[in-house]
Formats: sequence, structure tokens, C-alpha cells
Amino acid sequence: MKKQDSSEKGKLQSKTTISRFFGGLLASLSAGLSLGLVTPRIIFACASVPLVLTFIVAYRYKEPAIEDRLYSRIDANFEGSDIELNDDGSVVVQHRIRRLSALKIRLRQLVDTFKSPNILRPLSFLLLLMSTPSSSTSVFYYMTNRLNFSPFFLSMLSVLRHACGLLGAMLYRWKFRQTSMRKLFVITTLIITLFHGMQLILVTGTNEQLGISPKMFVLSSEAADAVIESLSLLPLLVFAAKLCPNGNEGSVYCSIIAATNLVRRRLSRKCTTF
Amino acid sequence: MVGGFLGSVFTGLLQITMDDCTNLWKLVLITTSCIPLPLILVKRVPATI
Repeated sequence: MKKQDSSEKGKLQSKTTISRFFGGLLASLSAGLSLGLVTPRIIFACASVPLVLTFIVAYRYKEPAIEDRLYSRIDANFEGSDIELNDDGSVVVQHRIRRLSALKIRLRQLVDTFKSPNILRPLSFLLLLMSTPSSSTSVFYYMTNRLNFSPFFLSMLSVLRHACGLLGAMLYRWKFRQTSMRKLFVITTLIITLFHGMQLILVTGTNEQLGISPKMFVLSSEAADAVIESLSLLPLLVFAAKLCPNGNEGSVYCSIIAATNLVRRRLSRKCTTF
Repeated sequence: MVGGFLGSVFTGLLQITMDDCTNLWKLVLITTSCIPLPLILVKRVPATI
């Protein structure tokens, strides 16, 4: 990814995001349609099957060991060097190191990496971006408890979100991959602020005075919001992949998705119920 | 992950301070005004990579 030329920039991230949204779209669609046929308990049970399969495959996958360029034998009983003489007469020197020492060295390298201004400056932007609070959970409860949206409507809302997210990822891939990242961040943030602010119309009930039904209002604003969110997420992923050390791109992608989906939404939902 | 955790903590604290749905508009207003905050650091992001 780091060695890709500018014409290839963002292709990998957009492809994975398109796949993610497509999978989410299929899942939401099947869950929504099956709501009328089976009980939610059966849907939850069906949803857990792919996770169990993933766990089994991951557990049984034999991952090849990564060759450590610095130290050939980590987890040794003593630290030092082994000097071996091969059959052809060549001498091979292997460094031995304890696991704890290796951990200390890696941590020091990590701290040194983060101290670099080239990493620290953009990272502070990412940290602030991820730290902003969200009212999505409270608005979700408002939609279910006050506006009495049915589970079927909420699942169709999820279908719409995924479909529009897919559209946003495709738009990025075809039109905005070469656009300046800074410009994309600024424009998408301002548009997201605008759409987020429109929730005020919903929670104050002004939409009723304007003659717009809550369902239509939520559907239209969610659709537009999903497209823009997808457009703002992709440059973030490209940016994070460029920042992270070689070979850790997958971990960074997972961390960002986990941070946005799991931590912010699930934990804040817990905080609301508390 | 650190940013996501801080975001959830701020959200939780804000939601706890709001009594019920009658104050939801305040929560939406505060969170909306927080969205453009990262733009003050946007100059730290390289324009091209």
C-alpha cells in the first residue's frame, strides 16, 4: 500500500469498504425481511453462526512465523549470540534475546515513532476526530421510544444506510481518490455538521410543523448522511494506512472500524442505559 | 482506539447530564457543535500523501 503510486491510492481501502457495505446491506436486508417470519431470538442465533465459523477458521489457521530481522531467536533462555559453522564453511551469527527484552525494545521503537513530528502532528488530528461525542444513541432511543418506529422500519433504515454507504465508497473510488485529503476532510466535516444539526428539527418536532413526516425526514437525512460519512471515512483510512508501520495496515483498518463501530456506539449505548 | 474511548466517555458524560428526552435537543446541539472541532488541527494533515 505504501509503495503504491498515486493512481492506485485508496483503491484497496475503497474496495474493502465497498465489500463491507455490501455485506452489511445483505445482512440488514435479510434480517429485516426475516423479522416478520421468525422470532428475533432465531435471527440472533443465525447471526452468531458466521462469527462461530470465523472463530473456528481463525483458530485452525496456521499462521507462518514472521522472520525477525533484528533477532533470530526471541524467547531464549539466555541473551547473547550463537555462532554456528555451516557445512559449507560459512559462519552464521544468531542473536538470542528474552521475550521481555524484545518487548521493551519494541515499545521503545513505538514511542520513538510516535515522537516523530511527521506522525505526531497528523495523529493529534485523528485523535481529536475520534474523540468528538455523538448523540446517535440517544436519537436512536428517541426514534424507538418517542416516535415509535417499528423494528422493520429500523431495519430498512439500516438497509438504506448501508446502500448509501456503498454509494459513497463507489463515489470516492471513481471521483474523489485524487482530491486533496485536507479539502475532503473540511468539506465532508462541514456537510456532516449540517446534516447532524438537522436532527434538531426532528427532536424538537419542527418537522411536523413543516408538514414533513418523521419517517420521511429520517430516511432522507440518513441517506445523505451515510453517503457523506462514507466519503469522509475513506480518506481517513488511506491516511491511517500511510501513517502506520509497514505490515500493520490491516490492524490499523480494523482498529479504526472497531473504534467507530464498537467503542463509540456500543459503549455510549451502555452509558445511556446507565 | 484511544480517541474512540475518549469519544464514548464524553458522550456518556453528556448523556448522564441530560435528564430525559426533553433535553435531547441540547445534547444534539452540543454534539453538533463539537463535530467541526477537529478542523482546527486540519492543517496538520498533509494535503497529499
